[in-house]
Amino acid sequence: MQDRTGSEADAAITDLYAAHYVRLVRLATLLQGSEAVAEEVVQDAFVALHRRWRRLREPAAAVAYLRTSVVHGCRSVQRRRGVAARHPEEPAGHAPSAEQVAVGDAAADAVVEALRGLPDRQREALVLRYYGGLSESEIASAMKISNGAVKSHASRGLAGLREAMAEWS
Amino acid sequence: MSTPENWTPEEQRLQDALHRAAERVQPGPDGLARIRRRTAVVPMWRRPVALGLAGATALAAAVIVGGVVVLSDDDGDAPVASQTSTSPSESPSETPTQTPAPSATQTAPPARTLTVPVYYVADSGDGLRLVREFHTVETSSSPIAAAVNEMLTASPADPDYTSLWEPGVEVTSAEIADGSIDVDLSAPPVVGEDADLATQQLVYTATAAAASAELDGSLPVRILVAGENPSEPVGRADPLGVRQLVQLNDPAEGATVSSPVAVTGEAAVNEANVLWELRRDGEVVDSGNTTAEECCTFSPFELELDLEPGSYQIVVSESDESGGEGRPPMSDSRTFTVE
Repeated sequence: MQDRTGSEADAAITDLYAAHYVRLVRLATLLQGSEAVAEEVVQDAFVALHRRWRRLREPAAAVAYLRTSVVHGCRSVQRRRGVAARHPEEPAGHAPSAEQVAVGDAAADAVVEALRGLPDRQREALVLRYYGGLSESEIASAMKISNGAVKSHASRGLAGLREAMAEWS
Repeated sequence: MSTPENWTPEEQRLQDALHRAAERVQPGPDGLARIRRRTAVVPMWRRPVALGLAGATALAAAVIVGGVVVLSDDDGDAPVASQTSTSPSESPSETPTQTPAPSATQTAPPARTLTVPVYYVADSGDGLRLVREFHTVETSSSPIAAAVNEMLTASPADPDYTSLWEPGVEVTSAEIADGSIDVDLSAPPVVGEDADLATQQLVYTATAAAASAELDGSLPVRILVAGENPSEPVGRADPLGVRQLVQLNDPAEGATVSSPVAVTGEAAVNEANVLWELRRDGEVVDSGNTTAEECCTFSPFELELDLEPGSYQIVVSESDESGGEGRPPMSDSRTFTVE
């Protein structure tokens, strides 16, 4: 039985990896800045999911579980930035070729830069909504805060970004 | 909910910028292989738990008569022991290390501060059910004796909770004997109308205290009076049948905390969905839902509230699946102050 559950979990992880890994790594990079750390955080989330697969009643809950783990993992990274010291900060995709650096990309850089200056919760709310495309309650659940708090973090975050965004609009 | 159609131009620019930045992130090709390497082995953590459970079940079969199931409940109380309790200066993880050996009462150990789990009962909407608080006590007794003694002698902090045990009885000793936790009382106890639930109140307290102290919380409990007439060993009844299905851990009743306020607890609820309401002077000022880690079995939930100073009540409950037809949803509440 252990084996059956184990291989079920293996198959599910493979599917979830194909469907969500890249997006989750991108999400985690936007949340805490480093691609290398993002991959570690997301891999940790998959490993944790595999461990508790047996006890996860609904496969649909798996994606929400991964998302919550990733947000939580990035928070921990932010808390002890010592992890980042082991992985020299490489700003999100900051080695584009000359062709890639279109006007839009420069603008994106400005926003990502400004995003990095925001308090963690505000950055989380904005990234989950505008990159993750999540609903308010999905965001609340991933951040483990109330719907009302999502609203206020997002609106304070937007206000904080306004200045940076005005520069390229 | 916002949709891209009703977003402001500013929001659309933000979305565009985030997607552009994100698309430049290209994860390495070996992510799945790395995950596989880490999941290939049966996780170490699962082994001792599985062994412990098998042992407990065999023991239960050997010594227990009459349909009592012994649960190791490693998922219930053991993790709780590592959580911060009512007193933040307390480090529960250190508590067990001060316990010298698994033979419970030792020769006059010095008094020390322990945080112990204490079970009471509350009217859950489905009759009386077990509920839990954490109490910090000064004691020279073993953690099990301290917890059960606290249950017998101290009132719950939460006004919604009560004890089925009449006052006037203390714990003389609590020892792990041959395959059971033996709790010796100073006098014949008087319990309220529900003797079975009263017994479970003591069994849950004793076993949770044992698990918190890294002793064997899966053992059944025997109750003695003045060292005589040990009862049949009684194990924990199924938590889904006896515990209130929604249980708050933090904040403690009456606690003064600072913002952001972490609200934590355990719930065994449908779809792992935990509803909450924040009240001020009886008015609902905020509400939402959060998810427990698993559905339908006791598992942790948490949420965080950014609050201005003042006095609040938090109410968490299960969702009402019956549309008002069945029993009322179970809930738990705490009153606390934000400084």
